[in-house]
Amino acid sequence: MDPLKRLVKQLSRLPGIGERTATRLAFYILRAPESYAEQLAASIQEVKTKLKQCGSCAMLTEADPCAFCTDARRDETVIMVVAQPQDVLAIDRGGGFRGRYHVLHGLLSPLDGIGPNDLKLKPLLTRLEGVDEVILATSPNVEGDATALYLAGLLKPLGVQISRIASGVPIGGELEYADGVTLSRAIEGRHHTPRLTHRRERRHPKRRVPAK
Amino acid sequence: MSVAGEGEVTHAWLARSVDYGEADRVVTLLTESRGRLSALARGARRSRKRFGGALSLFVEGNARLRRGRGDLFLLESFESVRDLAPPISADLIKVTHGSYVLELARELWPPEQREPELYALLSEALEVIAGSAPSALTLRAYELRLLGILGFAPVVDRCARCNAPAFHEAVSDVTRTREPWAFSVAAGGALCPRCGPTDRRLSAEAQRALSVLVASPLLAAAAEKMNGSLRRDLRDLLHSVLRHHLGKTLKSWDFIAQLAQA
Ligand SMILES: [Zn+2]
Ligand SMILES: [Zn+2]
Repeated sequence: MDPLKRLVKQLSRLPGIGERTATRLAFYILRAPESYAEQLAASIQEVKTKLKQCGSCAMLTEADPCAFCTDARRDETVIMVVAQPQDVLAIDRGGGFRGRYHVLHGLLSPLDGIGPNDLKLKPLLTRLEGVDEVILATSPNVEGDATALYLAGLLKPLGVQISRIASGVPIGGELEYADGVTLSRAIEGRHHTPRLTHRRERRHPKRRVPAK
Repeated sequence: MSVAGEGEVTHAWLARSVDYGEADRVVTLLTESRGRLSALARGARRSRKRFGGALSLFVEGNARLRRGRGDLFLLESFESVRDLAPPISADLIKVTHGSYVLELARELWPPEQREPELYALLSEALEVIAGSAPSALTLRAYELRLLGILGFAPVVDRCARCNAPAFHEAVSDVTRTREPWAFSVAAGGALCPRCGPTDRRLSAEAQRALSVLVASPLLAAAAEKMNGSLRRDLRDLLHSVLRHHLGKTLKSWDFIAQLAQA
């Protein structure tokens, strides 16, 4: 296969990139200065070889502990728990949150066989000393809610305040796609979960599916 | 009903959702008029317009479908007709039970086979899980009735081989006097003392419980008085039957076990 075709084929494997877009990108790279191609190739390689999970918060990082965990201006008494590294970036773009993060690398999903053992939970439990509040910022869908319930059950006996942001993000939507302002507003208006007890029904106050 | 041109509208529950590309999803739907099928939901991860929050677990929707390429349908819209997500997702046990009934139906339902009875059973199960305290017996009754609809019902009130009846007397007398019965997945149910024995014993209580549950509405099943060891026996027995038909174990079983450990 010739190099151009090979590049198109590889680019078209990226999410959201069809063959036509891949061809356009390939020609752009072809016409760009050689230094650009070199930097692009190096950057792609670096994310694979240099990034690892922060030993404390499980965010992807080059240095361990990561910049979020070492930044002294951040409030260490509040931890926001998210599902994926990209959620940290989305929330931090809004600038409304100045505490620390914790990345679970997934959500509980019985239908996909993802159970508690598949999430980064242990590192979270070991860093709760001196923490007053844990904000559960999982997406407002069944998996996000289930994960929040599970975490609340786990954390409550440890005496930390637990709250959940669920508003602002479209129901059934994903944090990754919410804009920064919406997220900041959601963080401001978070509600402290009065009781996240199991085996009891509780109407989720912020949850509504529009009936068209 | 034709799916060309206008498309087709049917009630459906979401049973799986896999991200596809930048903003799309490929979903598995359990539908009333067309059975189990896969469909592409364009823009489902980003656009609120077409799907709102309705394309979600435990929301029954009016799905508008159009035939796409190959086996994949195109899901044009999904409007909520019954939203059980709030009551179910407020309770972790309900989430696992609800996920389990969806997974079991999804795995056993042959593709694009119209099964209105199965659809009704699934809806009944989700409604019971949403509306009452979670009970494993609801799941057992669901498993038995699901197996029955698909023609796999284990024979429980008589011998699967020689048809000898299992119960002549009240269960208390039976437990005291009768010779042990057995259960054989391969034979398709209970075996009398003459036709047995196999590796698995079947207690009179378990046998009686199975014959009660198989005929029970799901809501009533939860009210049956059955102790913990009987419940475990029933679960293990039914799971061995299901494993036989599925050819594998289910993800929800692991999940429920993991939760129980934690
Ligand atoms: Zn960190
Ligand atoms: Zn017999």
